[in-house]
Amino acid sequence: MCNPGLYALADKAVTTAVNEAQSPIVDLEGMTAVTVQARLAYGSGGTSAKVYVQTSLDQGTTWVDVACLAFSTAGAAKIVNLSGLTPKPTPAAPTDGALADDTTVDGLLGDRLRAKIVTTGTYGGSTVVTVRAAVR
Amino acid sequence: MSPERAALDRALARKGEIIIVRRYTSTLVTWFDVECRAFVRGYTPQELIGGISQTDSLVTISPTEIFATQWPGGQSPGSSVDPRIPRKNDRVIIQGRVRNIESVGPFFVASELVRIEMRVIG
Repeated sequence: MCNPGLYALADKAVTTAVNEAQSPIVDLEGMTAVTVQARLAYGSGGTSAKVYVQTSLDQGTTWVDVACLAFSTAGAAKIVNLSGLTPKPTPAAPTDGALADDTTVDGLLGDRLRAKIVTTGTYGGSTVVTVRAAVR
Repeated sequence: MSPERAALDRALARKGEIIIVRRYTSTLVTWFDVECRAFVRGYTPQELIGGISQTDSLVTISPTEIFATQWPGGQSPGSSVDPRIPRKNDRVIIQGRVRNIESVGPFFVASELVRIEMRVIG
């Protein structure tokens, strides 16, 4: 593939509620697998924080959820691995920020990745959401 | 790639040392690194003006490694400053020592970022 390596999909200090897509990591043509780690460094307050890992198959026109990692009011890290080689004979209905908590859609990897961060409640005390992707 | 950046890359490949440029989140909880080749030197006596100390260093890097790793990664929309350019209070690790970036001077040729000079302290 082009440009395997470790990428930062997000490093975001969270305060008020947000629904915000981060800028994408591009030039990942030929990506066959990605391991994603999302981490919530919890400070205080807040209600929920979800990280949607998304890819695009139309050069960023639309984005498709491939993983949703959900957090609440405790620090945690969650890791998933996705393969772009998993057969997908049944059509998948694309979602954008609507995948169920802590689920993945395997087999769909385009040429770019991004993280969409959706939080509710007001976090404080240096709460940070970090998302890393090891792409190969 | 511009010839200016290519020339700098060749020179760095021959004589540069490896450093790490580190961007922290605003709360200093997490960071993301990029490994770069760099020229690191002290300031000459004639350059010790305007608050520049003899313990400061001038670090020159090429943006090539930054472009390749897409450092510092995904950013919130609406960021007004080009996030790829190191900024004040980013860190550099030189010979194992963590130092603070005090100021940065990006150089553009024909609108392309070709060289980054930084004053580091600490």
